[in-house]
Amino acid sequence: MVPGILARTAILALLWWIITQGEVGAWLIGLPAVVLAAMASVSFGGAALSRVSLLGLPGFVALFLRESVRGELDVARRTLAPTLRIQPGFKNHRLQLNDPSARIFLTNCISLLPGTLAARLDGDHVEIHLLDASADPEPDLRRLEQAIARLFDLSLETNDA
Amino acid sequence: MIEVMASLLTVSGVGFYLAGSIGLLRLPDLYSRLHALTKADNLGLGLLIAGLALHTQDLLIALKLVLIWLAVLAASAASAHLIAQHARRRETQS
Repeated sequence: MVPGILARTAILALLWWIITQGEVGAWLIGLPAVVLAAMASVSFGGAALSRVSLLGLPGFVALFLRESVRGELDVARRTLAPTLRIQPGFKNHRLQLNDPSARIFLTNCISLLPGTLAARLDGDHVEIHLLDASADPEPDLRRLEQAIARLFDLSLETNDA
Repeated sequence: MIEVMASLLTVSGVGFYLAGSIGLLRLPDLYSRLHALTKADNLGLGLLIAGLALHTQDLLIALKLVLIWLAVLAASAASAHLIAQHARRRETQS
């Protein structure tokens, strides 16, 4: 509990420092705000987010940026073509991540990455809307899940049902 | 040199915003249009911010711009998910 508060206070203080661009007088408001926000954030839970592994961070950021550019170019080609080359549809994906906050993080990443949109999170399944439902999104989703598991230092459920 | 890079990044960011807006107008249904929205926020704003960050040549301002990008991404992903989820619930219930 206590290390959690300390780490969050440090991160929030860093954020405040960036937002105020190092303005010294702003700490008068910033210090109490940072401490209160850290306490509030601990009481909200979000266990996985306090466990971000610095080893997993570069891998995840690289994957996210690479996939964003690759997917966006593909989507732009499809939507700007004289006749729309899309085939929208839904697919179900079974989540291998167990942790609730990591699952929400994954759903948000799916929505931000081009071509996929997480429509509904239901138990251990997420319903994904695809701009091109003829392609199989599974390999990309697996890679994303693995990167997020490494980011939060979690293990994936590996029973292949 | 840095100025040229910054301008290139900013212009390509604007290009992706344009592509996103065209997508928003052309795509046929709610879900596909949400795709166009969230993606403009991701790569369009991302490139725009990368360009601006290079342009300022001030680390603190650059970090602040990255924070703005992350905040917009969180808001964009959450709102797209909420809209899609609501629409999907309605569809499957009726």
